Amino acid sequence: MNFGPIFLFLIAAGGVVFVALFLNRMLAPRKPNPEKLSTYECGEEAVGSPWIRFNTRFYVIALIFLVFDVEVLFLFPWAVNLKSLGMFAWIEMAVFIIILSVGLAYVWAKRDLEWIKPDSDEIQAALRQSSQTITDK
Amino acid sequence: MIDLSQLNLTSFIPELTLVIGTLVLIIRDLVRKNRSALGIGWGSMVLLGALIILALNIGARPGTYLFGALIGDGVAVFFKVFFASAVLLAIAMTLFTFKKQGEPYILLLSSVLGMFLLAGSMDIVTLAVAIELVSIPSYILATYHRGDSRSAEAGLKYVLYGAVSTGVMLYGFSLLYGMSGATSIPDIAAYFASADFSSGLFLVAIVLVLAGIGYKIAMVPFHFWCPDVYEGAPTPFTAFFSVAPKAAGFAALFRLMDIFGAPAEFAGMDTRFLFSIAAALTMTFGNLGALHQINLKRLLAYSSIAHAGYILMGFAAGTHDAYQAVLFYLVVYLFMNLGAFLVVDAAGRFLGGETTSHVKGLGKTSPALAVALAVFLFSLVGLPPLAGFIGKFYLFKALIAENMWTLALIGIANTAISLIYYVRVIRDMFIYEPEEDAKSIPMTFGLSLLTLIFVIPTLVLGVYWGPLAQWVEAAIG
Repeated sequence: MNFGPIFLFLIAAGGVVFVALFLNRMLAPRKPNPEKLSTYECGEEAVGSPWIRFNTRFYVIALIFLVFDVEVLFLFPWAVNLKSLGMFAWIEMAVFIIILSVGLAYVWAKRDLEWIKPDSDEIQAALRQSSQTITDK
Repeated sequence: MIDLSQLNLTSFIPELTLVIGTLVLIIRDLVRKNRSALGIGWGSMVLLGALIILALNIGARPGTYLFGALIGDGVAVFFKVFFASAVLLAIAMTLFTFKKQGEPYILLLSSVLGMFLLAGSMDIVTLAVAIELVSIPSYILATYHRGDSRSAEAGLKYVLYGAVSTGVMLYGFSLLYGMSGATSIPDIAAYFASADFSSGLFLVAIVLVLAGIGYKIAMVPFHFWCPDVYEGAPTPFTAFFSVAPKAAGFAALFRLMDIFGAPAEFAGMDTRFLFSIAAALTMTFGNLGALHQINLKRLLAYSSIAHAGYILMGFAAGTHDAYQAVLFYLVVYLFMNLGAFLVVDAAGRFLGGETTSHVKGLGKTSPALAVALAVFLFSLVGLPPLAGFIGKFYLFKALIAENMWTLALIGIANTAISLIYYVRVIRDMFIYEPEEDAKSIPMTFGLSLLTLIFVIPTLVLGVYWGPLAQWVEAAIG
């Protein structure tokens, strides 16, 4: 196989980025002031550092989302070609979705679809503690 | 239109049974009312027992199935039976520790599915997916002691190194595909056996693939995750890691040997040279690393690195006899290594830790377990009349038949080194007196039975190994 054109394309792609950045540096005026140098955060003023601990529940939700995102990714080309693929593809997709729904049932039964797990002792304790500190203040 | 005659779904029955069984157990775990998860564990063991029978009867149907992605040859059947037995025994060990969570058993079963696919894969895409299916449950299992920072560290290290190794391996696969234009292993091998290809690029590709698999089997210089992960993970899972995913890496390597060995020579090297270096380095570093360990789990981790080196010697020789020796060694290794971890696990649960000072005087407080551990360790060294000796004998015999004297001598020197650290543990158990307040390990029925299940093959295979040797010979065909 001939990978020459792809290699040329890679060089060209890298070159475009380099040239654009270089020209920008040459031509653009540079007058920095504190306003300009501050972090842009959707027009809001930046509060605190972004390097904080995130709640791990964000990852759980993201993972669940990702699984079903990928499912849709598979479903679209399958739906378009279902007529030509026939019964076999239909059964395969049914198996795939059944396995995914067991996953959904698992997440549901483990109460991971709720933001705060109501039955988790640790979270209950943490909640009590945080409300305690608020009332103390 | 899809040609359904290539599907041969009957050959796929073991895997389908495993999938359905796992799904049923997941749902069973979700709806259970009582606090005990032992039912899930027993259910998994019954399922794996059924799989061994199914694999022996249905798995041996010749020819490929699932459109040429999988094959049901003797080696595939051997590995399927091996993996199902290894995980069955690992689950039996897990039952001591994880009585309330059902998930570990289900994760172990998903890992078995990956191993079953790996055992028969004839396509690099199937192979890559199967390896990931083996690895991902292992990452989760490594972190299973929640709140223990060493367990968390083990899981994080495992997942990061594992992700890098998979990436490296996939890059190697992509180069192989780019050169040959095929994903089927026989097609790739046929391409490299005939056409004049860029041998430099081929070397890069197979070194990348070997590096990726080298991480999975803890081959030097890709072994550094291994002691930390083995130490931090819960002991039953460490036992599982040291046997099942490692053997899965060897199964993958076995399937890929057709590609590795296809060209007679590439870039001034051959496969034999490459594997000899890997084997010599892995044995030597593993054994030297083990010399200073006082934590038994770390010690066994380094010992398992060294054993990967011994098994790689068989791949270096690459003959029929050598592969038979590899399969034979894997079976022996399964019993002696899981057995050693069983005693270490019992020590961890009842004596408060896994260091050599915790097992000091074990010969007085729990003589049965101490004798069992001594049997396993002597077998790991390879002393007659234990199974480890026969395993090593076959490996060295295959090397010497190929006149690979240098590698054989390095192997024998390594065996001598390994004697030092194994015997030190035995000395601590039998020569030293136990502490005044030393606790003993209660010999429950389960623990006694499981110890016997590991001790008997380790002893018997050292004097009567004919049936196993014949089975392995028939598997290689």
